[in-house]
Amino acid sequence: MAEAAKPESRHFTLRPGFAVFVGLFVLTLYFLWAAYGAAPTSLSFLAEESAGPAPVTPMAGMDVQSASVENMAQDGGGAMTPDEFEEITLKFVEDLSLPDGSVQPTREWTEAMEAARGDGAQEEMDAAGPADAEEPIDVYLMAMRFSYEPRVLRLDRNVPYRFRMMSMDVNHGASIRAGFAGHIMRRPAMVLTEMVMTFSERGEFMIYCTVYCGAGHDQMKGKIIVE
Amino acid sequence: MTKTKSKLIAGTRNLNPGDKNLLLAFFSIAVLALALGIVFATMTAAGRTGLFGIESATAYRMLGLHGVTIFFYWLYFVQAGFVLLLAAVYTEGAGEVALRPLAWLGFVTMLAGMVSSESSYFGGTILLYDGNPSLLIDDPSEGRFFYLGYVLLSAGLAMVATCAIATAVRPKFRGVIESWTPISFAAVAWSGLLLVAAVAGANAFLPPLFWTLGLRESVAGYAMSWSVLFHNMHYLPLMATVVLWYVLMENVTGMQSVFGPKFSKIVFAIYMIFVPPTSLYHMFLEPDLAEAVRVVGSLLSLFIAVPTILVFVVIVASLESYARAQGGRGLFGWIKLLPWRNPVMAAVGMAAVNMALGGVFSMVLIQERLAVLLSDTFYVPGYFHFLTVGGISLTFIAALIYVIPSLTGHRCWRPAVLARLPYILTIGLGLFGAGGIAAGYHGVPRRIFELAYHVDDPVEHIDAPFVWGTMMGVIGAGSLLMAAVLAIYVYALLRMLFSQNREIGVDVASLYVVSWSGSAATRERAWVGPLSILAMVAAMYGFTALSFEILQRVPILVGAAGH
Repeated sequence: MAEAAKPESRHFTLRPGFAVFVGLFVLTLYFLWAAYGAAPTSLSFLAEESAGPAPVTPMAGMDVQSASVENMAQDGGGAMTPDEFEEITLKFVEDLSLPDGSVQPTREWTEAMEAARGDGAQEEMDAAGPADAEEPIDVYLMAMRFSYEPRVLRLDRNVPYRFRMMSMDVNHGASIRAGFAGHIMRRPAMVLTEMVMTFSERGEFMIYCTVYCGAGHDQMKGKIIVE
Repeated sequence: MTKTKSKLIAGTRNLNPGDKNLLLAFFSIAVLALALGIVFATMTAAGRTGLFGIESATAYRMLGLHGVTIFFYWLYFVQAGFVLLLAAVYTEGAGEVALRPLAWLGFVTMLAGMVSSESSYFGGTILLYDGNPSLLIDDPSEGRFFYLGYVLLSAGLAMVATCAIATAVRPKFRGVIESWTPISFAAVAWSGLLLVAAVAGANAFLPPLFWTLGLRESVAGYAMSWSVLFHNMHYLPLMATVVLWYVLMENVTGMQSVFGPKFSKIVFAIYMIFVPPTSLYHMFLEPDLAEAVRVVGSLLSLFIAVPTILVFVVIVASLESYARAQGGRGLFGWIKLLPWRNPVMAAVGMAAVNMALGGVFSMVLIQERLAVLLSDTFYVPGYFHFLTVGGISLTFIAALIYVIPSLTGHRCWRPAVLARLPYILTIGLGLFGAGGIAAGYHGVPRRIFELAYHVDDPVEHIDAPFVWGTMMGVIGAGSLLMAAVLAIYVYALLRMLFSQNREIGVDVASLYVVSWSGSAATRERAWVGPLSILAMVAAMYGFTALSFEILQRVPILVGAAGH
């Protein structure tokens, strides 16, 4: 091994301290994250209100272990079992289907269901969810090999919807293509999750599976019509 | 043409026949796995781009085989060979592979694993390389050979890593040496991480194996186990790559690190410290991951690039310093003095470029807020092929070109052709990566073969954007170009392994090199390394900002219940 030159005789670009400084320079990316409100600091001057992750909330009482075969073996044991979820989703579709087959969620149906349940679960979910002035309207979305139920949703612009979603067999995705990008979501098997979403533009948006779920994965899509 | 004074070539040639056979066994299977992986990749690309019709189940099988063959067996057989070789050649007083029978047992175990994993696809498994057991609810037994293969691979890797460590440690115990060279040290660190990967592999794959055998009721927490394993699997070959850059640059230029051996050892040790705790970012889309964990995961992930950047700076600054001592002038003029006609130099040079590109895009994905925009899209294969093909595989191929003739006594096949391939491969990668990353920003999912999503019902019907198909065409063109280049490399390596005519080609010791040993211009500046990193970080800023801007324009407000 050749003798390394003594530090004092070296150009500073050849000193270990400078190399370490260069190596750590990548950490400055933190400041850009902070500027977009994506790091723990108050420097979020580049962030807009819509920026941020999808705060997906597992339903209260569910022991969530994503992507687990254990989930598929369980029969619920929390706020809603897969059978209960299927039942309420089918009722959601039956009650709110329009003549063209699309499903249009309503606030009346949401309130009626809350009143009918009356088991305290809703209060728990409300406590866990956003506490803004306008209560979201419930949307039930069931993912299964290789389709969604309902297949077509008809929603209103600038109205908050609480999406309650469950994959009924294996892990699926329920991503939405909106604008010219995708809003990517994973949905683990047998885990009920909820997320409040508000669509700010009119249009037809595709729901599609982004988690490989078997040979029919690329047939799995639905549609959201925002009016 | 300068005759090389390569320690790697001399040390490899001086190994005893038993060790040579062992190493040739690892490298032969590695090349076979690479060849198979290219065939499966070509089928996958052709199916995905619609070049020819392929049934959906077959297409996913090709994708699964491609991932398993390349990500597990090509990368681990070639690593096993090199970690043993470097430990034996670069540890003063070692001279041979320690515990060779155990290394052979490791080889046989890994090979059995490969046969088991690959055969599971012909038995009808629907798993992809990540082996998500939830897909097997209908018939768990479909996955038993798949998981058995991975478990055997883990066991074989543990044996090989043990042998590599023993090879490096034995001369110390015998009092032959007091300290390791930086490469011996790196081989030990690399072996340590291989052991970690083997344990993580057993942890991840034994439960589903037992489940598929009917020996347990369920599999819990597979996503977390897989993420920990997969993370180690990312960085093992990455560390191997930078170690090989270090070795190969010493051998084709005669340079030594101007920062000294101690600093090199510290840098290699950093991998051991930084890699294991930074695995969380693979799980950012999992709905049950706590927000605090996501934030900490992002912050930790920032550190993952640090050791690779440090090694890059050490190598480039050393090369620049030596080249300036040879009369190299100008900010970039010294680069022309490097032996670019040598296929190894050309490959390492382009591998560094590709690694930088992959690094830029990977650092966008470590930010947890951006997972909702880019994870599970084609952005992921778009960026990681820069790393796995353009950086890691190209470096391993370069090292094989140097080492295989030294083991077999054959010649290097057409070095002038091989010296041009890295540039063509990079063009292919550029098409694939640019198309893939653009597709990712447009929301194209990563594991889809039929992008039309066509249904006849007028209410249900919604077209996938036309631009998705266009980007798939670009990706397909890039894929086929990459596959063609890699196929030529495979042919060359097979010639060097098995050719009966030993007179065709060039003696590997006579490949064009420069001999700069003993003369570094340490009083002169070496700015190209730091400026490269500055440019890379600037690109990271640019693409991260672009991603945030796109995310902010997606017309879905999440959690905004009051609007």
